[in-house]
Amino acid sequence: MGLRIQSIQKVYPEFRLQLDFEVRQGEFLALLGPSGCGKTTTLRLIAGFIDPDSGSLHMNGRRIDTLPAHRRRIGIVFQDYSLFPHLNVRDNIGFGLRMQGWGSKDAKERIEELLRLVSLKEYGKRKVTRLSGGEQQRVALARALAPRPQLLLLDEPLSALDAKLRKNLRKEILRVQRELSITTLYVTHDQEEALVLGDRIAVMRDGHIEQIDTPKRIYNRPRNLFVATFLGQANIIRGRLAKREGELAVVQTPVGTLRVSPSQAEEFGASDEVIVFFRPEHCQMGGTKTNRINGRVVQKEYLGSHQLIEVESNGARFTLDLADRVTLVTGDTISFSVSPHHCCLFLQ
Amino acid sequence: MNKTQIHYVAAVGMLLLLLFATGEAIAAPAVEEEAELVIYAYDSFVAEWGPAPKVIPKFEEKYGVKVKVTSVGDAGQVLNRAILEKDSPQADIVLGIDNNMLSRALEEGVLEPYRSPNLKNIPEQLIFDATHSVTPFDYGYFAFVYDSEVLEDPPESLEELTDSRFRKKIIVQDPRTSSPGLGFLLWTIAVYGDGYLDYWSRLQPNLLTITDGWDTAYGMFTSGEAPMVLSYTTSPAYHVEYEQTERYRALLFEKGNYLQIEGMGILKGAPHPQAAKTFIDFILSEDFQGEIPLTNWMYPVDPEVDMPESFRYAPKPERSLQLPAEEIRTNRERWINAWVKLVSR
Amino acid sequence: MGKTGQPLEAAWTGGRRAATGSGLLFPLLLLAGPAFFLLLFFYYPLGSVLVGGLTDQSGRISLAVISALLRDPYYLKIIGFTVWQAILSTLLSVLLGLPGAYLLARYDFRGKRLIQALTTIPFVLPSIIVVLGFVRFFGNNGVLNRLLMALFGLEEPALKVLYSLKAILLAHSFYNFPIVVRIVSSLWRRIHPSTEEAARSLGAHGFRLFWRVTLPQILPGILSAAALVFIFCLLSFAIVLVLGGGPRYSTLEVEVYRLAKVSLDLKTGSALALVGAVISLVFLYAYIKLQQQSSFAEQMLEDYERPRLASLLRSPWGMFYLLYLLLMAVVILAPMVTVVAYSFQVRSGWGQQAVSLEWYRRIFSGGAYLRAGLNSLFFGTMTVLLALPLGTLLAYVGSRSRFAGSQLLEALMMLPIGISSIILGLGYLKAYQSFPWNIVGSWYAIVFAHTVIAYPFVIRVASATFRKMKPSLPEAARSLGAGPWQLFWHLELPLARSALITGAAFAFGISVGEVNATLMLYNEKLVTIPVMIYRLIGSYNFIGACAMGSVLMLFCFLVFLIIDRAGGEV
Repeated sequence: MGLRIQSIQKVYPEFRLQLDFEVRQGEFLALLGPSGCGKTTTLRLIAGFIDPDSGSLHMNGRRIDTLPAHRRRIGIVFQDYSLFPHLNVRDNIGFGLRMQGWGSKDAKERIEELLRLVSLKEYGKRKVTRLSGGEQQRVALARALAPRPQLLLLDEPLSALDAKLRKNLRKEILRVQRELSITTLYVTHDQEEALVLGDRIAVMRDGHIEQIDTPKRIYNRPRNLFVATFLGQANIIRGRLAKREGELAVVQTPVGTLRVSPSQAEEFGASDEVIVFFRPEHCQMGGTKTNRINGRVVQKEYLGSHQLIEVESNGARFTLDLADRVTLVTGDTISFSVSPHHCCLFLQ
Repeated sequence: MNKTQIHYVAAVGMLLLLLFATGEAIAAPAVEEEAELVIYAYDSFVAEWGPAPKVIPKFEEKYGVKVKVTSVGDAGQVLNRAILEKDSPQADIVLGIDNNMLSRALEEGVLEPYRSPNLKNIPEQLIFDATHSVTPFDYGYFAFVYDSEVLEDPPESLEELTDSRFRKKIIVQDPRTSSPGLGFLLWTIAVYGDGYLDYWSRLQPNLLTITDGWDTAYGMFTSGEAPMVLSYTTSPAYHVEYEQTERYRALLFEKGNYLQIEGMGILKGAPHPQAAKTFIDFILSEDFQGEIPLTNWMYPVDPEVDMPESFRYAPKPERSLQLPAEEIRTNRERWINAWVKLVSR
Repeated sequence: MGKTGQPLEAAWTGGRRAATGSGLLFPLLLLAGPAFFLLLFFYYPLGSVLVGGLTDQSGRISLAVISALLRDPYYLKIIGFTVWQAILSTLLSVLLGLPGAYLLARYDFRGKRLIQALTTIPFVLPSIIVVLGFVRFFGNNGVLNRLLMALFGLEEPALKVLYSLKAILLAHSFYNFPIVVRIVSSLWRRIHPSTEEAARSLGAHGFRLFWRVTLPQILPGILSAAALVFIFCLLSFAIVLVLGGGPRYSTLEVEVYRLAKVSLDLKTGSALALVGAVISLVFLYAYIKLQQQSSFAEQMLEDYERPRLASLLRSPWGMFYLLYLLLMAVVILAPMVTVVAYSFQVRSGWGQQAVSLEWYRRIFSGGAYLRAGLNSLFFGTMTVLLALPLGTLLAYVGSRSRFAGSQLLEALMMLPIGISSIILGLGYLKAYQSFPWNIVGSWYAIVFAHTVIAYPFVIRVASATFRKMKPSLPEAARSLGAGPWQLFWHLELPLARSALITGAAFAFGISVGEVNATLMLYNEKLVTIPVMIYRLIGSYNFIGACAMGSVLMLFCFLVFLIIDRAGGEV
């Protein structure tokens, strides 16, 4: 059940769209990727504004790619809200109901319901052109949800808003989605949004999905370098695989020998050129002897509750995320370590 | 209902009302009785102030025949319409064919000859069609009309028109689209023969403009654009009658003025030939002829008609010029083309 | 989701691998009615006349007439002159229009709407009134010259501008530059001043700023306005006929008029009309393509603060603009005002002209004049009722279609702009002769003819609006379940409301001012105001003609005021 995207292909001059994944019933899937990677195209394809070259789309078991856009029962929230300027809030929300031929009494009730859902109870008669960005977005959401769609698509709905508003609306969207348990696909280039909102995240690049996983796993166990560096901050160092010690892989790097516990299924061969990756927040001052790296502080960024320390070691740069109470000054030598379980290994 | 809706309803309501009102006015006559005589005439004949409103009721009453007069533009267009409908004539009578257009009408073979017994009252020289396909009903003379308040020494001949003191002071019409225009061209040919082109090249610098029709030309004249315009000898009479002014005067030239005789004819294949013949007889009668001076501003062909006071101001030329119809027929095309070439340079 | 710059997809193209064939069915359905109407009441009569130019003496299809035409030096000269004066007029119009477009785009002032309404009137007036007004104002004995002669004590008229090429160019530019102003300002308005501000901060200013930053952005608007103005000047008729001074300056349309009026020589006349139609078609196509381009830019919102005009006029550059405004006002308004002023007279007592409402009394006291007025109202309304749906449907299909050659099709749909109304009238006469029932002489013949002449202007306005629509709106509607018809009815049509009102006003104005085709199709019961004007002129009644003309202007003015009230633009 839910949305199944089956072997969809579409050729473009810039890239080739190749998709095969699913959004589970009631799930909130965040589609994350850099601009131009094809996520908006994916959305439009699902909505029915573009045809794929091959493949099929299924919603709750039924095939929908053969249906025209207006029969797919998919709700869409656009980046620029796209509210109908000639209608007021109530009529905007009720548009889909009108299209489906709802009786006026039922429609009225439903519209009230939705106004309450998005916390815009008194706004019914307002002209949409007089609403603020945040209010417009909420109306757009209500409008998309009114005709009880089987799928909700959101195309970077918050990117036009300021940071604080974005945070607030983010919560609203999540709340609404949970309340209705509606299958949702959310496109964004903002990784924080993806991490906060998604039940799962699909990271996309050049028309295909690199990894689709829970936020935690994507964050901690990225499948490749692209995913690793796209989300959050990354520390990477190139090296050569020397040997294996049981579970651990031993890698020779310019900053020393590092032991990494690879979770990938691939077998790494000896002497493979590899990249070791770990997150700034997993670095510890002092700590164990394994994976100890020595270096010099070159920059400090104070962030209130914590600080980012940039360390240089034998030509390589690392970022450490440490608590505020650790006092360091540029130029200090520093010694830190990271647990093998917090490290990932990628082929170069 | 909100404001917008009320506006819409009001607008639609007004619209419906309007449509109803005017639609009534227009659609109703569709149920009129079948006309028993159809006439094509030029605009000023049919207009409110023209002859038709006066003469048609008289005819209808006298003969009990319902008449429908349709205006189709100017005289040239009347003939064109007749030619267009050659194969299935919609009208019985076509009105406005003058002595200069006769050749074309005859060529196209759209007319049915009819010799009215009333022609005996008409002077011989006015019967310009020997075949009697066209029966004359009025005539006039082309003349240059000038504004005596502006021009103090008007010319006395065609030749004098070319004098440099009249530089850009004369308005004439295009012979291709205007019957006075054609009349004037033929006038110059009647006087200068083959040397007419040379005359025109001398006249050209004095022409302010060559308009397509008489209306525009006369309009410019009365607006004061130029003090001289090609028109009719009867034009001054109009201004005396309706504006009580003698300001505008017509010029008689030494060698004479060119004559225009207007006529009407029965169309070949007319739906109501009998009624048509009766009408032709009618136009030569007092009832019709008497109305001509003050409505059409031409001379009635019947010399017995009493002329109104104002026509004293319409000078009657001693000599009238005319080119034979046959000559016009053979050379018209050539003359006009040469003229066009000259003035387009 | 549609990025600006991408053409908008219609509900029936792009994006459905549907089992139903509804893809092409919907637009075909929409087109059925209009197509039928046009075939019967435009293409058929047109063809029956133009066929003369495409067949030889024996009636077989041949290019003999056209090739003879194109080899005749007289006609080549005519065609050449036609194009030449159109080019010059267009250049002048654009030059005159740019300052106006700038003012309209960048400044606010009261009475904007009033001015827009006023400047559009000459466009729909019957030519004879326009020309009369011009003559009365600019002529040798016109208001202007008399004023100058009185002021400076001159004997001869100071400005001898009429009856020459100068007059043609002048009249063309002054009557067409409002179009340039409207089209260019519509685009200019939507270009945010921030691009210019950015450029200024980088050191660009004055002419350089205009040339490098502003001009490239408004260029599509300028070019599309130029294409349209070119067509109008190409096919201009009355202005050339009267103000040109005679046979020396003759254009295509004038020759067609002569040939059709005089000799029914429909062979050469048709061939000429064909040449004119082809040239117009080319430029119509160019116009449509350019419209598309400028429409994308116009999808941006235009909400930003505009300074008041009064502040500009006080600045050093202000003198120039003030002069410009004064000049434009005088030239556009003066001829019209002169006509109106002249109508309040009656000639009486020894040629004196007294101020009087005589003619207005006559007009409103019933009789033929009032009837003419009512008829014009009636025809105008009927024309709107027909032309509006016709033009809107065609514009909708045209602007949303994406197949190859759709723009050519759109150009063809606007063909009546390139066809002289004389030819159309003639066509009606010729084509319906053999019909079982009398079309000619009926009121609907006139309505149909007016509709055919007017609907391209509805297309023009509607099409521009449909193109300007943000692509995401229809997509949103589709996602909410709107099928092709619902999309049209519930979204696109309401959004195009102001454009439709503009289109309706244009259709009304054009119908009310139409004269050439009407002259061929009317009868005593169906006299309209323009026909009446012609008749009045034909019998020395110039005051009466001006009075009727003033009434006409009033109609048009009121109607155009409604456009701008309803927030319409070009």
